Amino acid sequence: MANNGMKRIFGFILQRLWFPLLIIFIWQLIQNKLDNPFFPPPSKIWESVQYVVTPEWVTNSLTSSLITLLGGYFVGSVLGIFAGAILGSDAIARTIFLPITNFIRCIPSVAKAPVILALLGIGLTTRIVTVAIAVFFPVLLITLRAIANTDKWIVEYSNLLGFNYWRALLQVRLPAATGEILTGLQAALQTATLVMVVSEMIGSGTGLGAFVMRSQSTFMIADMWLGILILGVLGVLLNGAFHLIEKRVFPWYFASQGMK
Amino acid sequence: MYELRPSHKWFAIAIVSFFLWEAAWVIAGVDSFPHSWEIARDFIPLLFTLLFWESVSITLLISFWGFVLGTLLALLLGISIALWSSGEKATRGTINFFRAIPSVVFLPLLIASIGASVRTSVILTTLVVTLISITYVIRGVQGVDPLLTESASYIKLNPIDRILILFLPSMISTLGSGMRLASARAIGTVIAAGIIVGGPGLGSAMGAAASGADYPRVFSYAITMGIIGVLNYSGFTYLENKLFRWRTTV
Repeated sequence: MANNGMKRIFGFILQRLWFPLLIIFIWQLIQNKLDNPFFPPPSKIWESVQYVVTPEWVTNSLTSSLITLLGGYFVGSVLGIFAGAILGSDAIARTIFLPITNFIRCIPSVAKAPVILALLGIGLTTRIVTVAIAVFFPVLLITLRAIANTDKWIVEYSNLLGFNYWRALLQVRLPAATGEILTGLQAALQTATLVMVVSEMIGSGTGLGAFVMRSQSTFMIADMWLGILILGVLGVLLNGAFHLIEKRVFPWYFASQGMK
Repeated sequence: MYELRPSHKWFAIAIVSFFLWEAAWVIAGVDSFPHSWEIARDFIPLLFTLLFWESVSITLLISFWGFVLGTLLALLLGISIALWSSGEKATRGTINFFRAIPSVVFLPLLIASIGASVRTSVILTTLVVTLISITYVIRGVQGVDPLLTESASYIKLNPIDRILILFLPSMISTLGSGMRLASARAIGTVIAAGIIVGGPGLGSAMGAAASGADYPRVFSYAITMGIIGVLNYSGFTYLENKLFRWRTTV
């Protein structure tokens, strides 16, 4: 048993990890020779981990970013699903609001940041609102479309069973739209991370985006790379957490789709 | 079911948009949120200025070049990875890692190394488009019918012909979806570069309007970006439907 487990781990490392490890090795080797100041070797970035990652940095940069990201994402998602469900279940509201929402969604999320900054000023609330708005419109749109496309037979059946509007929405239409809403929520997570960084870069002294900007302006290039790599790790972890949570919260959906 | 006539529909959309905007004005209650007519009064004359069209054309030009270069790079890398027997498994983690990094975070690095210019925006846009499209290319090549691949080996097609005759036509429909997404992200990236570091185009024009507290102008640029986004999306959807009528949009 233990032997099988070891074999599996070794196989995983051999298949998946050799390539990134090779890249890190080549990067180190090239930089030892060239010493390009803008691409410090991994060893130098590792050195900066030791003096940058302090409790104060965790509070000012990492925690601040996570609060902005998760706060904005949660608010934007909940409001987006709610508004999308309400608008999607009424034909006339859908006809009117679909083009309006689509137009606002087509404005790049990063362009909404200066507008919100002008309205609310600099601060944590502004950053959370910026992320929430960036998440709200795509989630609203995908929910609206998914609710509108609910199988007519299922809706008819719920009418025959005498379900009222709210019961039909909560117990029939929303569960039927789960797959599309989850896809939208996952895409919105990436948008949320991007907008979080932009809002920190242009309107804040805290957060990972501000840390990267500050490192560049003080020419601490290894610290800047550290910020970039931490954002990558954060993105991968958030994606993993999203998959884990969606499987825990909606096991019936994955079972119905024949997915593990 | 009751449906609105097209003329009624657009009239209703205009009326609802107007009232929603004015309601937002009442709620916001700040000088930085102008009335809808103040924005219209700024937007219409703006359309007749050279500066406006210069910003629009620079944004579109940078997006276009970033999009073309990124797509070509994605094709080159994606096909190579997909054809290499264990390539997808080996590179999946690395590609996902780089995709997880918000593109704009590379801006300070690019500014430090080459400065704020058209080249910076093109490089960043190319990177974004490559990272989006590469997954679609790999998926597209892996989705090629094995029977066709075997036939290509049987008739001894050379690598170039294999790409041109076999892989490109087979994966073009998958790539189409990636290209639609990548084109929107390309425009967004050019605008982001303008807003954050003053790279040329609509983003920096909007940033300048915001720092000069010219709020109707800020909203005019936001509307312009929305119109460009809608045109881009509609154009790609139209092309996809025309060229790939035999499949559904992903």
